Amino acid sequence: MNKNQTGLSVTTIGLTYPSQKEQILIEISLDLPYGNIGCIMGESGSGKTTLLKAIAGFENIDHGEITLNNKIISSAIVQTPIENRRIGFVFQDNSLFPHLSVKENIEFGPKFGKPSEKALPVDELISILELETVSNQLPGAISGGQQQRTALARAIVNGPELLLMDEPFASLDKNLRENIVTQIRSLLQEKEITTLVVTHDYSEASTLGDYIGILDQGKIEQWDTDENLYRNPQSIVVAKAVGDGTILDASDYEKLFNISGENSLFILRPEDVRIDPDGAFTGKITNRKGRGNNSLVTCRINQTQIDVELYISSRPLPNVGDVLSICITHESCTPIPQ
Amino acid sequence: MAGAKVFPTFGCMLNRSLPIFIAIALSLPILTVASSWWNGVGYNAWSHLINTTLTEYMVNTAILSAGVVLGVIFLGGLSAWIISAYRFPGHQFFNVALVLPLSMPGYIVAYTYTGLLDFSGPVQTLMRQSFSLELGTYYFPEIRSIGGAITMLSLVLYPYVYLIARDAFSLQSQNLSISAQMLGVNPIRHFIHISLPIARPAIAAGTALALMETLADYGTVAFFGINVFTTGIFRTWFGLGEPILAMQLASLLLVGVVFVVAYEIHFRKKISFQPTLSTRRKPTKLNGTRAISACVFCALVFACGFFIPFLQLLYWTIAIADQKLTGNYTTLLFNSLSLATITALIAVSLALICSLATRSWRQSRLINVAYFFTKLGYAIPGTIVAIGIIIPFSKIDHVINDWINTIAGHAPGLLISGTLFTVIFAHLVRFVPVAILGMESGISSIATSIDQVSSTLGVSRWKHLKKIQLPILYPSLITSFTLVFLESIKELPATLILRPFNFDTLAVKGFELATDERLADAAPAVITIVIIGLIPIAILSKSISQKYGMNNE
Repeated sequence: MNKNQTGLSVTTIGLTYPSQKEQILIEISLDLPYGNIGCIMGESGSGKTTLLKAIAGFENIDHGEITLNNKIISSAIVQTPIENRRIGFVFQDNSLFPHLSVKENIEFGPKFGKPSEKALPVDELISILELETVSNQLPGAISGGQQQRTALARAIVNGPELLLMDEPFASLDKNLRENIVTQIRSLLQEKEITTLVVTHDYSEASTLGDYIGILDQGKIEQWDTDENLYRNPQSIVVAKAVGDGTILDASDYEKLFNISGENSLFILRPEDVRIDPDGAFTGKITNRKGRGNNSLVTCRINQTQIDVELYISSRPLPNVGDVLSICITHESCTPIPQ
Repeated sequence: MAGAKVFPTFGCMLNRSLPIFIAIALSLPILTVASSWWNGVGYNAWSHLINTTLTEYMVNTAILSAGVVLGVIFLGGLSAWIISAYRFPGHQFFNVALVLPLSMPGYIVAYTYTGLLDFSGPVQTLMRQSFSLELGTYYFPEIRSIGGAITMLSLVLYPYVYLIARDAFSLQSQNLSISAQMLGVNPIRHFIHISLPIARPAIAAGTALALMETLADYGTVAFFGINVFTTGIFRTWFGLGEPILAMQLASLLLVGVVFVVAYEIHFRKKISFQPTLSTRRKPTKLNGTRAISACVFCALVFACGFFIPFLQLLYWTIAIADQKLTGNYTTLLFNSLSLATITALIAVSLALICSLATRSWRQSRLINVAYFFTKLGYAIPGTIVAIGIIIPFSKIDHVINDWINTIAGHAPGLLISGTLFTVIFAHLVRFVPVAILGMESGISSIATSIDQVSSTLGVSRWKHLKKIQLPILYPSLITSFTLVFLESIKELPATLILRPFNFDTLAVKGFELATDERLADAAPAVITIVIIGLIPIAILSKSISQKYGMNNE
């Protein structure tokens, strides 16, 4: 396998829980190349975890097809048993075996599970993930970050063809999360493990993922690279999920630039709005967030009810009520297909 | 459609039919009792019953139930409030000590108080000697009355309310208390208008447990000679020789029991408030008269429910008990211990199978219904269980005897009914639910994802059971074993009816001696039951707290 080949392919799958009438997953499709990392983002209840469970085989799909390295593992007819899928799973709560030490947790799969030619040496994993000092301790006695790394080691020790991670860093604090995300990305890239991660944190997704999918009410709104999601969002949900910005409708657009908006919606990112003494627009600051290098300022453009957002790094920072002269061009507004 | 996913637990290794088979087997008494109506209604027998004792059974059962409900709410609710809301000298001791009456079966407390308060007992004797009174010249409440039975049962059953309500009161938010205080609400109004309504589901659930025990009680009411449903069933069967009528009578009681179980489940579901540790209400420190009042109340409840009966039993055992019983005592102890051990081992195994299977097949309605019926047994009075077992078992025995007689020319006699197997089976019907209760918190502590991890690692179900589930469940298995062991040692009515010839347990011997008015001679047997019961009391206390999603630590 190489990185040009598809590792995980999900094709128009649907899933309904027997106890519920509404579909939880609706016509989901995505392709994740071999050895790449994909991230699924979405609000609570959007179906992120259910999608992972369907891929892992914990839930059966109604229709569609899931293939892993070109082998069908789930369809309306085929259901490869969970233990034969060669998938590793890291749960949000780690789900470490509480009565086994860190090392025993990691070697549980190789010892009692199905033998694998691709199994990774336990000691090497312990060393890479810096777990040597706690390898004989029980999960309850180690830190959240160490627990997370132990769960990761246990999930990849059998050399899975796909690694699924369900909000693995949600319980960690910000600093620890940033360190561990970088560390794990390096490891997964080095071992060429195709990985799909569920997260609700965009910064985590953009650091970790080669591809990011935005899931909303059971549907994938867009599955793309981070840059494309940011610059060419295919829906308002995507535009809002991946960064700050102002959504302009056609009438706002026409009001600002005297050009027909052609019934479109537009996203205007804060970095595309600049303070310029010669700018065509003036507006009063109505809100300001943050005091760092990039304070996000909301500015209401005079004679309109339009609020635009922009970053300000100059000092002293303007206050709410101050008037700014700003420059916006229609080229910096990205149309969003409806 | 996304189907019910089979998780790799031990339950999956078993055919789905096994837990259903266990449920049907353990529901045998219910099925037998319910099926009694298919044998037709004996109008003469029923009209005799209606014209004579049925009204008395119903009225007495209603009065007894209502009285115990009020009693346990008063004793359990008030002591729970005092212990959770206040700190006073002896608080830590009473916090634990108030649970101890749970180790006293109602009939044992009844024996001791009868010995103490009867005409010839030390209390009345002392009164007569001190005030030179004669028989008939003074009033003394009759202990062998429905009021006495209500008092005895309330004294031993209030800990059900105490345990659950104590946790419910302790977990109420500190902010509620502060808000009420800032509005100028005094402590009594705070209790009546805020704490009590919030804790009402917990108190109701605890009351329902006490009510189940009341409806199931045989020893206390039989000893006091009160005609209620359980004694009525016994008398209808053995006295009138009307087993069908006895079963039909039992089915009426069973309907009441099912209502109480449904009521308990309903209120248990409502107990959901669990503020974090930091927001729990801080207890108030009491001083002076108020501290003494709290201390005296708790001391009285503890003394009446445990200390006085225990001292009386100890005195009888050491000073008065007939030494002839001592030789027999070893056999009684061995019988009780072996019966309880065998029952506990089988009950824990069956409970494990049922719990894991239900966990694996959680979306199967049939399995869930089977699980409900498996758990119902605890609420069924021992008398009903005994009747519901002995009738089908005797029929099986007759069929086997007829068959062997036809082939071999002689009948081998009773092979199932009248053997120890029948007693163990009856104990299993009643105590497999107890084993399930003891296991519930352990089972729920194994997250589904733990099972899923093993399946993604390709670990077999058997290895997952052996290496992951059983080690995690080990403390729960021990808890379940201990709880069943304790209940089995105490069990009276089913053992009394079903035991084989010449097989006595401590509880049965104690009851027989007590009903022969040899209360002191019964003491060595019954104090053994109490002492054995003391050992797992902490486990029971913890188990009940966990069942209701609370922990008072």
